[in-house]
Amino acid sequence: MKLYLRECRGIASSLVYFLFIAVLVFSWWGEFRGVTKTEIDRANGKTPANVGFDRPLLTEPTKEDNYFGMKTSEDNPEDIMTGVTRALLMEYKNNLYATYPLPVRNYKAVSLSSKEQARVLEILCEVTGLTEEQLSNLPQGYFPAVTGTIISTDAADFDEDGNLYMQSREDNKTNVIEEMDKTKKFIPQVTYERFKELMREMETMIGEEDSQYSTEMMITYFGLSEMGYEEARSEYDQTIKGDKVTGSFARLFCDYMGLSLGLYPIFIIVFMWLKDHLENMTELLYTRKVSSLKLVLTRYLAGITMVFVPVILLSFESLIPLISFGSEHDISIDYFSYIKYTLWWLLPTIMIVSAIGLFFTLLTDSPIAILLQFLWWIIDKGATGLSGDTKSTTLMIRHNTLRGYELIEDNFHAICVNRLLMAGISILLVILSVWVLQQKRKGKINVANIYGKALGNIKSKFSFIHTK
Amino acid sequence: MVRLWGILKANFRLSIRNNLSIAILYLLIIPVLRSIENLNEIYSAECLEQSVILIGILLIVPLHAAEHEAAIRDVVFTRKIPQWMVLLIRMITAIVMLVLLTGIFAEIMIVKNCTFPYMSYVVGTVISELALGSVGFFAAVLSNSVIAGYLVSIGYFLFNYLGNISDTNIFCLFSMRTGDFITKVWLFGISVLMITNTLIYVKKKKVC
Repeated sequence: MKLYLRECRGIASSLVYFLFIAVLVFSWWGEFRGVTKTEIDRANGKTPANVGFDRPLLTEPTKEDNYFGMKTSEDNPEDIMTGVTRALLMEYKNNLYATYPLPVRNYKAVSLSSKEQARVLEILCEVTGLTEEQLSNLPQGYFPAVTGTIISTDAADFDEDGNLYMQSREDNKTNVIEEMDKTKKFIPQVTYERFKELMREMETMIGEEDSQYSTEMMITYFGLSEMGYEEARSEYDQTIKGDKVTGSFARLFCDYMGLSLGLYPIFIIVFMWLKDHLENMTELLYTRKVSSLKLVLTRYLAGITMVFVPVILLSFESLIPLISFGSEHDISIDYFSYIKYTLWWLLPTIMIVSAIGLFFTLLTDSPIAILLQFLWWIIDKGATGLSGDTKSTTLMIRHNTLRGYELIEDNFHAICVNRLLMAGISILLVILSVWVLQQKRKGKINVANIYGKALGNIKSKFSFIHTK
Repeated sequence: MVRLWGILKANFRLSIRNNLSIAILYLLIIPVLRSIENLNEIYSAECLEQSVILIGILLIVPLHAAEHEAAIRDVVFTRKIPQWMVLLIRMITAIVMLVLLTGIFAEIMIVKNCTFPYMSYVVGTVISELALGSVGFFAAVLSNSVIAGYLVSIGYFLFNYLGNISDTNIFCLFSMRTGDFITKVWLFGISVLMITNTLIYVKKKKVC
């Protein structure tokens, strides 16, 4: 315990720890701070409720409301077909098809051969019922102002405070003159099933993952539809009764904090072990009575503790206003949501990042662990969707919304497997680190000698400089 | 002249060579991680500013790392050539390497059918690399820890990557994709300031 407290004090007084706190707070400040207050203000009527796409999370919906928020679904296949066809026509004209392949899902443009382009034209003609000539001279307003998440400025408006809000689709629909002429307004000439079949063919032709024509992407980009009262009611009940208010906020908090904790803790661990080396304390440390197991474990736990403490402290910024909101509105609050979520959601992330830092620093006496972890972070960030996309090897679980509890429910098994796997690998790496330290203390592993043989001795180069 | 060449060669081997190898290895990995073909101006800028600029961290932040060991530090600060001059030589070498690597990478992108103004994009990218590296270099020298330097540089990169620093901010590293080159002037100024301050600090520092 004494050693553990001394290690904690050592970390707390290091500059790297202050820098860690600074980047953690800056990230939290830019991403999560104020989210809770905004939602409470919306529920209390201090901020206009109709700002953005979502309805206020903490306001009870009534049947009289004229807007219940938006959702992504296949409820309006016609909207999806409209949006996708518009995108397809645009990409066909440029012969550049956007894809977002793994591992980091960055933009990749694919060009098709002339034969494939001819087939795309056939698909477009089949979907629109128009000829090639008609397609190249489409009339103004052929496609509507809003297609999924692509919104023309006609559909958005600003209130007196300058806040953006969406006009209800019902309002828009009354202004739309029904056009039945397929040459003047887009009217799909195929069924939704046939459309999806054609888009699968497009995907095969493009040959890369995650183009706009995969069913998942079609729904994400263009499957935006309004929720009804029942859906809004069930969302509200889930927030108030299921999540006891704090659950939704705790998940979003963990999502944002996870991004920071997926990388920054490694600096503390690497610094802790390299400091001995740089201050020529290694030999002194190796000859101490304390066992390798105790030394590694104590430092590992001290590192985790010191990372965990500021995370818990930051959660109070959201928890305290929610407690006060609950008492004002006589709503029962789960006071321990943040602790529970951070423990099972964030702790395995901190454990694995710290274990990687520990193992590779002990093994190599170099900061290589930072590079490895940074690469994993970049790949994981790109490969993982914003919500409901947890795989067994996912480093940072994402759930970038206050809503969507069903995504967690659907993915719960995968999330449990993932977190257990991360914790298990961490323990394994810690055991390996103990073994590495034991071997180093016995003199069986000498990194300086290995480097000396492989790269030439750095110190001898120094003597070369000084003798010149 | 012979002496200068000797210093250059020795410092290249000491502080640049290994980091240069890692930077080249990293640049070779970029096409595996993301596409560098058929990109328009916006996506080319994204590729250069979001992926290539990381070589700035690899090459600049650890320039002072060799002297962080206590025993070596004592020797270094007592030798004839002042340490700040050695660091300046290393910095100039690192910048030359950055220009070369970025120029070659951008040329490969052009060959791969990417369309962008070559010269302004290379200069813009090198300035972002310099800014990213110099803040970490400053932190590393001041704290006498290369880990602190990496933390500051990577933190700065991630604030940009995750959108904590907006496109209009003078600290924005990714301004080229919006066609804004004014920010690069600011970044260049900040880099020069950081490097100058670091060298002045080293010059005035006494042996502990």
